[in-house]
Amino acid sequence: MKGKSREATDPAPDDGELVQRAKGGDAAALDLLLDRHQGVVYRFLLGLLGDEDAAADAAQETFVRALTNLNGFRGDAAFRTWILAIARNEARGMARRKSRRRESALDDLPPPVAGGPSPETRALRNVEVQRVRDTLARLPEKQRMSVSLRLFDGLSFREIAEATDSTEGSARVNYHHGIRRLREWLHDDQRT
Amino acid sequence: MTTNGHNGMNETNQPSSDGTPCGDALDQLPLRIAGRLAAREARALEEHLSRCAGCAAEVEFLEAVVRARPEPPRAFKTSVLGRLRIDDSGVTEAVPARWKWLANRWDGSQRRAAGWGLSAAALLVLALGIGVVWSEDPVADGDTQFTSALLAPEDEMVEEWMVAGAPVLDGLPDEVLLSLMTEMD
Ligand SMILES: [Zn+2]
Repeated sequence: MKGKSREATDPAPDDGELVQRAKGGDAAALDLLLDRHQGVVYRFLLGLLGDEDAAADAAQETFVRALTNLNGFRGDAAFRTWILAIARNEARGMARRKSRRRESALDDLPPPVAGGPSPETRALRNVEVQRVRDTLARLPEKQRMSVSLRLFDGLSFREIAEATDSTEGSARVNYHHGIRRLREWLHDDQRT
Repeated sequence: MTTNGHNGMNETNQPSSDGTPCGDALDQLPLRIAGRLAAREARALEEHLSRCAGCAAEVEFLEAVVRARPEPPRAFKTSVLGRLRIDDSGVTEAVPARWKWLANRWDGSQRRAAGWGLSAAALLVLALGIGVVWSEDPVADGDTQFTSALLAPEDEMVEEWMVAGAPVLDGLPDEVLLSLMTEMD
């Protein structure tokens, strides 16, 4: 796997190029695609499914499907848009399958936060982090999705609209409503 | 770049944001945080932030929220790669979903992507030899209280998912969505 996978000429190949390389069996290209999109796919699914394990599971399935079907990616839309559509379908299938239930594990620990603050700071911060996540999870779905995709992953309102069956205008409004409500709720919680 | 110099905020909370300097700024702040603003937009935004206390305060709030950004599990990438076989003919699935616990358990040690597929497949064969049969995908299910309109089953896209850009289902018109949202508020 050496070949042309690491040309010094272009530092940041675009997704289309990575897909082409991956189709030819370039493992490094595959690696980069994963690095680039694992976060947004996971968060998108977390927003839809509301459960960290389920989201990780669905995200893994999403990538396996996408990466083994790269011929289905025609390149006339962004790779991110394409894989988010796959993710949503995956989530839909998972939602359909979940007929038998186990108790929800709402108190799952959040994944560790990046960086190296002291344990005390980190403990404090984790409380805050969990509080924000819980509050975010309470938002209506489209607001939650818009806030997550915009604020955590920097998607354009048009991309958000495509990923959530919405329009650009409502994606924007949903984002701003969501942020406003998040601020109010976080603020209210603090006072009680 | 001075747009009138209205430094007093119209409410930061105002969701409709078109046109006004604060509106534009609030639209763009997430992109600033994600480092996705073009240089020219970024300059205009910084200029606005230096004059507008309201928007500057909003930066702090958004940054606090971003610190709570959920991340995929640490071994996520390895788990995915552990299920793939990568060779000159492209990428194929070496470990199907119902065997993924195997790939997941096994990942970590091996680093060479090219080797993953084969070894995972070898493990699969081994497991098959042992005769372990799993009738069902051990899916980690979420809690039931979480409902999603976006996942409503009526519009399945069994085939469509492979089509680039699909599926852009035509949704409701803006006015309807907006009135729905107002109701939710
Ligand atoms: Zn402002």
